[in-house]
Amino acid sequence: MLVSVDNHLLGHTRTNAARPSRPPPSHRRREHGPTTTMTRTIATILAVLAVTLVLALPSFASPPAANATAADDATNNWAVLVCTSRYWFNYRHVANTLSMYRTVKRLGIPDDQILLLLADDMACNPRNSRPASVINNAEDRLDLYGDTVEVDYRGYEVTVENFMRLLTDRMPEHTPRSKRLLTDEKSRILVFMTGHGGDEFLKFQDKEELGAQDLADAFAQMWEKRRYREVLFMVDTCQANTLYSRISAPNVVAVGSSAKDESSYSHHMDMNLGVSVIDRFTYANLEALESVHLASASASSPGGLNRTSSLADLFATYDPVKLASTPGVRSDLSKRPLESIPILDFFGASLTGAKVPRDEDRVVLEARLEVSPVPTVEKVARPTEEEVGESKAPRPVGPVKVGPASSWRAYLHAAALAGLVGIMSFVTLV
Amino acid sequence: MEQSRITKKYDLFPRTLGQVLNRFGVEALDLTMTQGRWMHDAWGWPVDGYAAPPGFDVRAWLRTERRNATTLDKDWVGLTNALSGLFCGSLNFLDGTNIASPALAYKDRQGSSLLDVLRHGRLAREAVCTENLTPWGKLLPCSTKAGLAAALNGYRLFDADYHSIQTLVSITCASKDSACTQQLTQRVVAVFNPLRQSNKPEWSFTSLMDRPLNRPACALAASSTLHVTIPDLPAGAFQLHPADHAAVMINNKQVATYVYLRHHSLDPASATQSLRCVRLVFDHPPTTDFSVSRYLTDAGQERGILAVDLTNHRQVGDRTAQYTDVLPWFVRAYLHTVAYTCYPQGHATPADGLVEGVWFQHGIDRQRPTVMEVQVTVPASHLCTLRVEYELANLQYAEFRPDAERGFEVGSGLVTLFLNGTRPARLPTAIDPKASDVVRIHADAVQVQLPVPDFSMPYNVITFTCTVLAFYFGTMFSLTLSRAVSYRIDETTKKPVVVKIDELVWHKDE
Repeated sequence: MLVSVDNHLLGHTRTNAARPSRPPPSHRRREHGPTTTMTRTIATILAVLAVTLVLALPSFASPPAANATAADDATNNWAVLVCTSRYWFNYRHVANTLSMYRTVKRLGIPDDQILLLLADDMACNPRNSRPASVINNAEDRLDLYGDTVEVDYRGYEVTVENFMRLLTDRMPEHTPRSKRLLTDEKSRILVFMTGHGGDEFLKFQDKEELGAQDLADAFAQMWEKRRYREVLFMVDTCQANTLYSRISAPNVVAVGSSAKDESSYSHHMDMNLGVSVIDRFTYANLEALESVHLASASASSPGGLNRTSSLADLFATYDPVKLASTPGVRSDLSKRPLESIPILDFFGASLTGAKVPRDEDRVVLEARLEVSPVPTVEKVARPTEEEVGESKAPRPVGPVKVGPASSWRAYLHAAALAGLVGIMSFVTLV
Repeated sequence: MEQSRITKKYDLFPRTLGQVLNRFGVEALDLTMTQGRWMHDAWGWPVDGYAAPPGFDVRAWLRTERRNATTLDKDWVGLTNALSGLFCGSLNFLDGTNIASPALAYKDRQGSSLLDVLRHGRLAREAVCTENLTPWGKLLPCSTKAGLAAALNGYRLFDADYHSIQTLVSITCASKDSACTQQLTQRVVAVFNPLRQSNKPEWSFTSLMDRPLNRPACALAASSTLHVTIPDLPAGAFQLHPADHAAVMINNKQVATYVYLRHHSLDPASATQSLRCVRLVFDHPPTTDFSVSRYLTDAGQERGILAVDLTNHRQVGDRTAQYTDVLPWFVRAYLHTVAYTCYPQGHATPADGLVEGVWFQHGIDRQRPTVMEVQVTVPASHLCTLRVEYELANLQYAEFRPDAERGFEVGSGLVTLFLNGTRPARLPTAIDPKASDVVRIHADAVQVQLPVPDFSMPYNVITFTCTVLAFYFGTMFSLTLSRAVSYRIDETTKKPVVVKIDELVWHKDE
């Protein structure tokens, strides 16, 4: 029978046995004077302290200057609109994406700065009874495809790898410009993703998944490479709120259509096509955004949004009862509060100080046209000396803190590293 | 920077395309984006004797001066990427594994110099939609704002029974080693079926395209004309409006010509002026005197036979045909199994057919496709079958597409007919009256079903292996940490007492 026995009982036995002998301490060592050994010890301690200090230094460094500059610093707007679903019965995902495409085009983002990724072709699908058109409303019958659509990634090209490469701009040589996200540190990007998803993942074409951590890493890389100023990340899938749970890069506002363990539902079906044509979350967004147009400062429908509305106003229009799910908003990473971010900062072009173009698509319902300049965005109140000081300080080269402002992590990491270095130097000495 | 023999003038030639061609050393380019199959038995010969195969089809003739194979490969990658960005198609999928350099086909489209190498790739499953028409239209000098292209309506074009959007760049040199010019031809070939819309055998331009012809002609166009082929019916059987048109003969067929002048347009409001044709009788579809049918036979997912039936309907006169096929690497065709048998039409006894030559490039797994070119003679009134046996390879788990159950499309199946001066019967009017001596027929695309693995197996294997490892590791860990000892039950306390090893091994002297 086997009984596990305490080691000390065995040790009792071992004292009688012959102990394997250690090599005798070398006489060469003994020849070193005690002062040399002490010097070596002091040197080790000093080295460890120095290393600890060097490693802990970045955590004391000031946050990068770009963080705290004025809110209207961005000069260009981009949109990345992704539909990840294939097959005719996922028509509504393509319709979601095309609805967003139409909206941002209408509100001013040029086609060159919109990256449209559609995993399947619905418009010219043999099953489509309305060739070359995609609708999102069974009554309205408005065609989303239009005459000038440009699909940058289509069909089998919509993969997780291509999406990640697009975000981080690690593209192979010869990738055409229309397929690259050529943003800089003054860009605002709208990233809209729709498809089938789950707890912390988004399914791409029934073959692979994009994880929440991958997405967070992509945004972190983008921040490191100074590829955006602000990002609005919108996702319309089941359990969408989990997809943005791991983002840690600053200046990201995230919106999801449903919480964990909740599904997002489609809105309605078109009886001629035989499929659902739009999802509830996107439909709610469109209902709010369709009343925004550039030519007029007031809404086309009473109680709707207008071009001066903020993201907080948009998110306030979501009704969990109508959506049959709980949409979530993540604004902790954003430097500006949601009330002071205009919708047009992400859905339209940054037109600070520029002439507002006429929006020819929408019928203006008011009797008179207001020709008013674009209202200035309210700046968040900050003490001026901080702003000036930080805007003048050059961005430090080297590892820069990406995460939220808690520095205890940095201390912990530095201490662990110092401990490790200490142990290793101790081991080499002894 | 390469010296190009081509003079660069971008007043009419689109700069976007021209710079791409210059950068990658392309002398000639054929890019067609097609949906549908040209139904020869219903529609006769295609216009210009050339119909495009379904999907995206790219042929590029690349100059080989100062470029070795590696540079050519890199430039091909650059070319396909640039074209995919330009035309919104997935042409970047055409890498070395699915492109071919056929030796016999397309000789008449050869560039100016024999030093050009042809690279041909096809994406049979690529969808064609508005996003491909838009950039094509932007290459035109007046874009789609003026001229005949303004009448192109995507909603109707993509509803057609067959549509093909073609961009063809060909090169002509005045003489050898002198300056050459590239010509760009942009074509849209579409087959509309007005019976589907109106159930009456009549059509008008407005009813076909759902757009009036009320834009002026392009100011940069040297000529802008509409040709309407007069049907081969007695005079009372149809009415063509406007009746005051010029009639010319092109290729032995009567063609009505309407000049689309800058300031005059065919006014749809006026019933007498709008372009329409009213037919009172149906006419028989024109027949072709050569038909091709391609299919897979022999059951199973392990091997099969690819067969092509070539039928020469002519009573007198043999035809020389060249069959070109590019099979993907996982369809391993065997040269020794190529068989060509001819049957007189209506008879079942086979006769040996004449094979003039076979050019075969075997495929290498995951590197290059199989290219097979066979030149045969099809005697008059004979049905000839060309067969080749193949074996299917097993694909790796990650090589399957997301819709793996659908299978893979196989090959291209091109039959090039050499006319040798004889025009096939009832070839319709060519826009370009210059007759070409070859007619190309694209055989049916076939699809092969590879055995699809169970994609959940890697997950199953990982789960199972980890479970086994956990059991094994757990057992081993506890075994290594615990030590086997002997014990005896003490008589007095009735509790186990460990017997020390020393006592076991060495008998203590009591």
